[in-house]
Order: sequence, then structure tokens, then C-alpha cells
Amino acid sequence: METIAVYWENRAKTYGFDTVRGLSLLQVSTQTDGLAKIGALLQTDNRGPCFKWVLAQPCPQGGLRLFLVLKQEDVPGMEAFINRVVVKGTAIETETTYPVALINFHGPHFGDRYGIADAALGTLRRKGLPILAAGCTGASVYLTVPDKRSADVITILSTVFETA
Amino acid sequence: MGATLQVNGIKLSQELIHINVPEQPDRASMFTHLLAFMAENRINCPIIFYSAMDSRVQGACCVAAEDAGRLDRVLALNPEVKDQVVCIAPAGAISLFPHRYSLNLLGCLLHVLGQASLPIYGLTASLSSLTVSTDFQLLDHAIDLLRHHIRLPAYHAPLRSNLRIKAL
Repeated sequence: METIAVYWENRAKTYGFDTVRGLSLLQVSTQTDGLAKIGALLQTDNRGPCFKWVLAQPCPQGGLRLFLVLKQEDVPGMEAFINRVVVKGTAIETETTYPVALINFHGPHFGDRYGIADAALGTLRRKGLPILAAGCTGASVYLTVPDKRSADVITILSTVFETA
Repeated sequence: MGATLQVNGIKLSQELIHINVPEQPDRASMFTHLLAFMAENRINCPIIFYSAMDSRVQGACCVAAEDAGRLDRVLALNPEVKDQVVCIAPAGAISLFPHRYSLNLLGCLLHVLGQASLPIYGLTASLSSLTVSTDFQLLDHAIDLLRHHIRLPAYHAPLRSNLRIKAL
């Protein structure tokens, strides 16, 4: 059975923008043979809720680059934890960017509609605003931006999305 | 591997095409152009992976395989975009939830997929899910491997949904 509904809005609606400032973006890069070892190590972590957001992308030269958004105070412990993989003979590289802000928002059927990513990421890029990392999945959009630009990002996003 | 992780559900996507804009210096404009191109042609990109750190810019989006014909036609009309992207097909997405903002489920995914040499085209988190893009033909194999490390409720929702929503 197929149901067709017609709906149009000038600006996509969102339930609002959530911003958390003063965070750190930790990059962890590993070669392919290190992926399973890092994963096994992370499985043993017993700190409970830890990351604010995560992204992973393949490295051009092989392996994976992991981006973890964390509270600043959690970074040293996380680096020390992940470096345990190095002790076991797996090469990794870590790099921290601070301060960053994590902005997330979601809206009805974001994952089912065209144009949402362009309205968010595309608009920000065309306005010259930096996006350090971003991910869209389901009905959610997550943006990691330099902390001092977070207000500008919200201002621009508010022109292309209507807060319901 | 020790204790299994409790999750509330797993979702498998329909067949996808994973479109990479490979890492090149100052490629942010190309990925932006790709997103605009998709929007203009009413092609939905339900999954996006993007980073721009220093001069390393890397972006990817997933589109439904059923949009392949439309995608091919518009790429043929826009060779400057077609020449800059790499399409991987068939791709598919696995979403596990909830992640509880804990490294355990993330680690499980990386460990299982890494150990089995299953490709990770991209991974990201939403409010509650971890979603990874991988080879569509290996989705069931990935689930079989993950089942050794996770517990699902007895009456969990179907892994594949019969409900499809599409903006026309």
C-alpha cells in the first residue's frame, strides 16, 4: 500500500538548536591493523557516559580517523587510555582542538527529505563559517565548530530553519 | 570478549550509494557544491560524514540506491561534479541504539568490523544511535558477528523496516 501526502514549507522546521560550548575535539588516527585493537580497548572502558558526539572517517592512506567530542577535563584521561594501544605496539596519532562547540538540532523527517544537509552545512560554508566536523543521520544534525563562532552559526542556521 | 552489551535495537538501511569526496586540500567547496547539487535535484542525503581540520577536508553522503538512475543522469550533465566524487555501491548502514554516550558500543563496532576486515565508509552518532556505513552485501554478516557481543530485547523491532518515506 502506498500513501502519498503533500506538504510544503518555506523553511524546514526544527525543534530548536542545542549548543554546548567549551568542549574539546580529540582526533585519533590509526592504521587498519589498529582498528580492532582500539575497538577492543574502548569496549573495556568503564567510565560510563563519555563522548558528546563521535565521527569516524577512513584515512586516505588506510586506517581510520576517529573524532571524539569530549569535555575538556576528560581529554587527558582519554588520551592516556587510548595510548595504552600504543603500548601494545599499535601506532596511533592523537590531536586535540580546544575550545569547540557542539551544535545539534533535529526536525520532523529530516532523514527523509532532500535539502536538509545543504540548508545546514551548505549555507554555513557559503557564509564562510568554519565547520570542523559534522554528521547527519536519522533526524539529527550535529556540527562541531570553533567555540567562538558558535553564536554566528546559530544566527545563520536560524535564517534557514524555523524553530517550531 | 567478556560481557555482552545490552542494546534496544538495530536498524539496517535500504541499499545505499556511498558518495565520497576524497580528502584533498581545500575541498570544502566541492562538498558544498555536491550538497547543493543534490538539493537542486531533489536527491535526499540521509547520512552525511564531514570533517575539515586544517587543510584536510573530507566529506561523504549516502543516497538511496533507488535514486541511482536520477543520480547518474544528473552527474552525466555535471561532469565537473562527477569527476570529483567516488561512488561506492552497494553500501548499507547499520544503526545500533542506544549508545548512552559510552565508548563501549563504539568500541564494539570498531572491534567487530575491524577484526573481520569489514569496511567502515563512515560512522557517526545521533541523539541515541551509532550509525556506520559499510558494504550492503555484508550487512547480515556484520549483524551475525555483532550478535556475539550484544544483547537485544526478546521482542525487538524488525531489523529492516517496511515503511518507506520519501520526499518527492
